[in-house]
Amino acid sequence: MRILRVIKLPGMVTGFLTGLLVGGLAAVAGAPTGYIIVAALGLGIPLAIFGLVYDVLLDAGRIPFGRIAPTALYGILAFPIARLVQELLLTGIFGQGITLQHESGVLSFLVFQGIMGFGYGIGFLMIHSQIIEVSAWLAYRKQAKEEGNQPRTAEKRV
Amino acid sequence: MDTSRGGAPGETTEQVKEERVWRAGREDPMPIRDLPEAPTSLHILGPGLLLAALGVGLGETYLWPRLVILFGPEIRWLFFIGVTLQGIVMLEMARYATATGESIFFGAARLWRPIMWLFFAIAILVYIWPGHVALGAQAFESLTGISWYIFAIAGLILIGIIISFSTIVYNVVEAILSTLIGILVIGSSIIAALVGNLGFVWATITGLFTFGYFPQEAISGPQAAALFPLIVGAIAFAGPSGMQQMWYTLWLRDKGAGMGTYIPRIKGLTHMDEEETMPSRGFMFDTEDPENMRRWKGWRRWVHFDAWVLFWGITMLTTIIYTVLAQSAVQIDPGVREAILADDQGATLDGMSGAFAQAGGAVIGGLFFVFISVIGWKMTFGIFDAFSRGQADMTYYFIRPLQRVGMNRLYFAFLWFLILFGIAMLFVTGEEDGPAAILDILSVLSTFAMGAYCLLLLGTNNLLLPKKIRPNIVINILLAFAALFYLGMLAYSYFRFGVII
Repeated sequence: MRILRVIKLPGMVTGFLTGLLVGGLAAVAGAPTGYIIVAALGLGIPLAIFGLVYDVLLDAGRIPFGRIAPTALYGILAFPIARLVQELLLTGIFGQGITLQHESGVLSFLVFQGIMGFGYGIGFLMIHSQIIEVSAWLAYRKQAKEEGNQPRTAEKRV
Repeated sequence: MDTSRGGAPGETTEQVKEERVWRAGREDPMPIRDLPEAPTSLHILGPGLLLAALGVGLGETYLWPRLVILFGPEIRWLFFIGVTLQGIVMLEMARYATATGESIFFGAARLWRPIMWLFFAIAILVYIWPGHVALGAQAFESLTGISWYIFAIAGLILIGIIISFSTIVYNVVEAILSTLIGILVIGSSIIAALVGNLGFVWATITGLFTFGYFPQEAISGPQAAALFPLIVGAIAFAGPSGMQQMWYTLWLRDKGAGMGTYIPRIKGLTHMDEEETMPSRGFMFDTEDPENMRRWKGWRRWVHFDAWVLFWGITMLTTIIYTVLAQSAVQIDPGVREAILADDQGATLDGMSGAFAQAGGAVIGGLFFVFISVIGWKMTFGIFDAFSRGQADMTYYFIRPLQRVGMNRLYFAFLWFLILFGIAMLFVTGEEDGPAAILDILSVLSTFAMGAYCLLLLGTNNLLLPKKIRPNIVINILLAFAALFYLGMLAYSYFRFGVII
């Protein structure tokens, strides 16, 4: 459990960096500075908040760690909302979003972003769980060793 | 040597009265041990993730999007079949490895040693070329303008350093590959979220099920001889290509899956003094014992999760994302298709980047190059580790004098040979026969190896394993179909068009 307490950050950081990536994209594409900042923070902050919530739920034992399904669900729910916040902010301030205006409606926007959010969730899990997975497997190996299933012990039994 | 097979494991041999063994094929019999308990929950990610991380590569991000641009998303059904067959193959590879703790190469030797040496030779022919890292570095050159030789050589040396300084090599390989694939999946999801729309996803998903669709121009017409082999090559690159599935058995062993628990793991150069004694063959569990069979079912559950959720799921997901990207590219600039048809392969990389750039601005075109660079490096990283494992495994067990050297040292000998040979090749190979040319040779032999290992699995899993844990008839039919699928396509391509690739 000590390890779980340390990993409150990854969820938040992964989310925030994703937002920055979008900002970076806008920056190199030559968008105005204000647009870049709103695009980056508009996605980064909601995703960071969702990342933090994920870690808190994980710590509280509400989400089993390393499981694909809950994390994918987290991506499917969190990502479209974060993207919608971003698009609404951009449209509200600059009169133009990134893709919202090209979609046939908010619903189809949310569905498409949800599908991409599934990918976001899986990628998030892979980075996030690396830290925990290793320790979980080590614990399993240790247990196997105590039970005498280790190679050396096995060979000696021959 | 006694070559008899069959009978329940647990028969007493004459040589060692107290020890029960399972006689499988021509090599030493396997002692009977208890199968360890499978991890109770599925959440401990298995090497399936590693296989997905290695498998999601140029096929998914480059070859298949190119086919989608050329023929539309309907061509994807072939990808669907390819990846599903790979899922079945993966389950069967895992069956042998978790039941015995041996690699599939050892299984091949139990049938007949020359079969194993054939794979040894194919591995060398296919994998000593630094094709992947060169292609990745070439993409990086397009991005930065700095000569790709520098990136390729730095990338190769970095691989050597990382692996040499690991404690347990497998853990490091798993961590690095998983993290990199995580970054790729997140990055491509975001880009697709910014340029795609729902219609593309629908077209992609329906495209996966348009079974039987085959573009007429790839069968007859002036361009068929160029297009058909392109499709064959792409099928070979759907999911893990070439010998990656065979290496999966070595990763399972190092992960300690099933009877692999009894086999020591490969350690880094700096931890060689902790090397444990390597047993001379694998082990078998008592399939007549209900407790062991219960545990076996637990391992099969774990492996199924590995194969379908981690491997199949992640590969399909990446595919959908990249098909969406490819469709966006065509929608924005229909001229991209003609450009790809006219271009040679090296230029197609630029063409793809150009297509993505038109779809989502110069940055996304640039990011495509970044992704290809990352993929090129991580493929090389994964392949170098796996190749060295496989070759070390075969030489250690079957060239007896080399047993004194030890598995660990053999592994590092192969690894550093690959790195140094790769660097030497990069100096010898000019820009003229660029990296893409190497990649083509690779996909011919890859396809051959894939057909061959399906046949091998039919042999190992039906002849070497106790009856109770052999594959059922449906699996056997699917394996035979897979062999026909890969070898048949190669043969058709050769006899119909006179070219294999």
